[in-house]
Amino acid sequence: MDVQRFLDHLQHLPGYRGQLVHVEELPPREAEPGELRPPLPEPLRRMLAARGIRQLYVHQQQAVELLRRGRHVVITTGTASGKSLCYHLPVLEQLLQDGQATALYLFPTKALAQDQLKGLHRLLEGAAVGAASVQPGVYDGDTPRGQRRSIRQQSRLVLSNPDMLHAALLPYHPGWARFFAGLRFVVLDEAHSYRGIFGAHVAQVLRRLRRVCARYGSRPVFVATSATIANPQQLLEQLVGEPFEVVSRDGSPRGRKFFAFWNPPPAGRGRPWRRSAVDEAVALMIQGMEQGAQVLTFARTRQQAELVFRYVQEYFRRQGSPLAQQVQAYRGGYLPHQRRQIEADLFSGRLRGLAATNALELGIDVGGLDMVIILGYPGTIASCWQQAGRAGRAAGPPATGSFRSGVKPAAGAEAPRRPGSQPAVGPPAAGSFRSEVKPGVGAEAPSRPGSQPAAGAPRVSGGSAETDRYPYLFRQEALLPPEACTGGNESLVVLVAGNDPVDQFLMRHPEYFFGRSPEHAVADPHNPYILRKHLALAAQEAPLDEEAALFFGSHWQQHAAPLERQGLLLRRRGRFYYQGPAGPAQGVSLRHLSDETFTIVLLSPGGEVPPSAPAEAAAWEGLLGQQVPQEQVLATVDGFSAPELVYPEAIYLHQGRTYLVRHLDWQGKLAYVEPVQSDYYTQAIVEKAVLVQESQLERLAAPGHRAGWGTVQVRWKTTAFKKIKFHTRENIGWGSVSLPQQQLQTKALWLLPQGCAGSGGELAEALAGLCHLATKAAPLVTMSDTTDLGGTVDFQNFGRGAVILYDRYPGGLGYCERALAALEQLLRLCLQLLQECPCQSGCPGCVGLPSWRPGQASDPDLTTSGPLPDKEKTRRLLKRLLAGGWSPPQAAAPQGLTAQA
Amino acid sequence: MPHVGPAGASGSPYDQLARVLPGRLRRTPWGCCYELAFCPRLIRQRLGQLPELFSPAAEQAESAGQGGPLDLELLRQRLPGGVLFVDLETCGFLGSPVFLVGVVYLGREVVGRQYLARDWSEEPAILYQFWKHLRRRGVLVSFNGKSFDWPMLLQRTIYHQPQRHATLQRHLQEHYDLLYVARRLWGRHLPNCRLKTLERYICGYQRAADDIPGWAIPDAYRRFVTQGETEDLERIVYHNQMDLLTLVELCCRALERLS
Repeated sequence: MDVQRFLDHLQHLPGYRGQLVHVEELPPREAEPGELRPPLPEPLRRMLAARGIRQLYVHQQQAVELLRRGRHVVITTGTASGKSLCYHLPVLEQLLQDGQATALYLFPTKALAQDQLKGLHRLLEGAAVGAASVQPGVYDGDTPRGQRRSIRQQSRLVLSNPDMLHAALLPYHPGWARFFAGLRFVVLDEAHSYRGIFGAHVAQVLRRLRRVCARYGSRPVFVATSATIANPQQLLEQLVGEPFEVVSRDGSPRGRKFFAFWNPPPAGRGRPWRRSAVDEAVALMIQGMEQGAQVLTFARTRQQAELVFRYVQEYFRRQGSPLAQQVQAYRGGYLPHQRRQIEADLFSGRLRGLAATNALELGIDVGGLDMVIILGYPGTIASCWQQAGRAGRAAGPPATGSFRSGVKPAAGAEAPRRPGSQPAVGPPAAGSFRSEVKPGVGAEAPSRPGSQPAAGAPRVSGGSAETDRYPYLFRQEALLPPEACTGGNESLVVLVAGNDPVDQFLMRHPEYFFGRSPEHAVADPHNPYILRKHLALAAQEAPLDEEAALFFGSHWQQHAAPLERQGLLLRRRGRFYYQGPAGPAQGVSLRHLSDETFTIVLLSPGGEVPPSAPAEAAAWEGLLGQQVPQEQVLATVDGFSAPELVYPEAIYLHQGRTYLVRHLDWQGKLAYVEPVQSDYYTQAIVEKAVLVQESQLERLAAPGHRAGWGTVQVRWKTTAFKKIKFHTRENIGWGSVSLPQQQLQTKALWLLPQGCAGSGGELAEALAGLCHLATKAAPLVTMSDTTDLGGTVDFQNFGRGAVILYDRYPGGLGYCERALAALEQLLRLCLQLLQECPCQSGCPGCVGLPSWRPGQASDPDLTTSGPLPDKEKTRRLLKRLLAGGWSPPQAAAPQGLTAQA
Repeated sequence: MPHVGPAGASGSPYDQLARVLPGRLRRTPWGCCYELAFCPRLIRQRLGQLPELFSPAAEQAESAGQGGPLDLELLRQRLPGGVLFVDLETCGFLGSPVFLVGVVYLGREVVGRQYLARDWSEEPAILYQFWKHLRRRGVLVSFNGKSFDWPMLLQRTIYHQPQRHATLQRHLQEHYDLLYVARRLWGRHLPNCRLKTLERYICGYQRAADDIPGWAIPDAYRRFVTQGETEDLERIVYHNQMDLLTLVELCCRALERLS
């Protein structure tokens, strides 16, 4: 698209208030070829030639040469740089050479595996080698029974995911003996997604894989691809447990890209916060789509994605624009076939706008987009670049090297275009949807022929709420003609700032974002909670003996002992044998806190909720998967989020439509919803308490400030909900909720200031501000994701006021431990955030807004009660905390220490 | 019982076992296990009145089918010395351990042996004993063994001896799964083709009422390993012996029918 013209257009809209605070131009880049020595075997050269690839890029050459030498390699070049060729080539070379050799491709999602299988088939089509000798196959939860056997027995290239490896391959390794014995390559695509809790699990799964392979006499070479992170080598070494080489010199060409920072204007009239980022993103998305751009908006939460979609669609409906049918929402919890359809539609260009969560962040091939809107800083620089990478994929000469550019057109051609839908260039000039905006008229305009409003679709109420909503970006006079900005290979990324401190910090300091390397990704292979789970599974795969130390570290016996006490393992002659229930891997989910998924079931309006089954029966039926006919399932939600999303009487948003939760069957893990037309949505109110159980590390500072780290239990419970009117965000009612309390055993950091002047109430106000700042600043210091940490103000545990931050994972992930070590840095960053904020007495950009509550920062959809933050008191508190020198961390004196990982 | 106490094991459950189920310790290159012999009286009671089916002189009748389940020609040729009857008791389906391997083979008389893993560590030895018998004989007869016992034996052996995965299969010359034979011969006349049904209608034998049901076996064995409870283990051992003897008798009846 013509970005300059589009940005110019935005700035000349009468309602423009200086939102565009920064534009960074990322220059185009020339291709850098690389010559492979020795060259590829003839069949592979022909295969590449058939795809129009005559020469490799330099990073492809480097990767292939390292892999040929048996080194583990991680490739970190940009989106669409042809990363997958880096592993396809050495893998195929090996499989052609050795008829027994096999390879395993692991993808973080099922969708990626399917995407890559298609790519592989197309690649092999052009090769004389043919797919026959390789027989690539996807082995995951969706693979039909009939195919599983042949894949297990014959396939030499299996595409799967870590969850499947963990639950379906490793536990049944004798059935895969041929495959594991021949295993030469393991591919870890999008390896940066294996961080945090998921990473810690995957690290153990890969150790189990290496152990099983060793027993079959194989030692596979690992090859990983990763988005840009600060420490790809370290992450992969943590994940795999062996040394890695990095290939980062990107030899692929790139089109010009612009990265804009967009700060919503102040809300005005004594309201110290800024206008809603959602509204700004909606306005930008509409502008972009009207100018012919294909626009993807990344929202931070599922609810936000649904709201953006709903508002954009409503707008186009009112305009009578066909674009109303060409916008969609996309998030986790949608059923797989829905997601595949949306991906295909986006790829083919049928879809002109998509509001997604980071469920789309991974490398699913949706083609290059003209414009990406990032609604709120996604918490990490890496994630931000990853989302930005969706804009403007490979450009310049389709010369060579990029496997993707060679393949893509075929994919697009495959997806049948609906009659009457648009070519990829832009929306039709047809119709008069650009004529005068007459509120209310659009709503009555007949929808496009052939389109069918689905049951339960929201009706635009025709009131003035929507027109009030976008007052300044939608004046008619200054608008360009539609599609004036199409064409060219430039692309645009817009980061729309929220009210969060970090968002506002970035708006003031764009150089911080563009100058800083992306974050570290952490996959802790020593997390004892996770290690223990996998030790039991490893014992089920083969009795544990001294060799286990090669994979699980020299302290593995310390972790096996508790399992023996639980009766899961039996020790005989120095070996540990598994004797727990059959199929233990099924009970360990790699991804979620709670190893459970709730199913959201659709009732017909007024339909009966089935009687709740007794727990045991429900568990059985759940196991057998027989309880719910598939066609009634609307979506799923993980057990951790269920009490916040599908409590009774909640309004559940799905594809922009509203559903009322009629009943939550806690035992049966089922939520029954029915379609309703609601003019409000709901927000859960969660009550939370933190109980400190053991203090393990401590730091002191004059005149008596204390900071500590140790074990806590976090308890929370959804107690009530608010009804929020769409658009106006009025609170129009309340309801109470009665659900079981949930708890989380984890690690926490606490900070106890000493000698703060004033009453307890005054301290509480300062602590509330500090807590808000710290939950936002800590990710920058601890290299975690904002959603990995929670925070609260506490007066119960220590007999004095404290701010407590905790890792939001069972057993902790080491984030708070790191925050304790870097405490001064954390406090200084908090102070900097606070002092640089231009507000008078506090705003969401620093200590939090008086009407907001502390501790909610990492959960935009949740609120908790607590003291009101105060900016000046927070500033004084921070100054005092930084004044005395902090002692280095040392073991906390009184309590007994537990072994640390 | 002087020949029982295993070296290094902690005694009591093993002693209790030796009292209720007298047997002997079997040492193999893959560790040791516990060996039980079928009671000769039981064998006589079940198989005593059988004709000399298993005499090598059994004449070469034309086979009823070519290569189908009823083509028992090789079986007939290899009887008596080349055939091994097998039945397993396990802790569940694929992926779970095998803890009892029962075999019957024919010499001058019918010989029945059971190899019991007294805990999880003895599974390799009972598998070793199976392969030793199979190497010697080559032809396997089972009931539903094509879908259960054989894959189980293969997988559990690969589990403990991964590097042998490609070579195990070659010890098996032929495998007769009498489930398929029984279905063809008797299936339409019987309510179902379960082993117990066949036992009752074809062999005319009614098993003792306290025979342990198959679904209770994994838990019963677990209780033996973890708590030393031997009561149900005795029932499992008896159950396995009866299953094997019925298997042998069914084999006789099938050969009779087809000659």
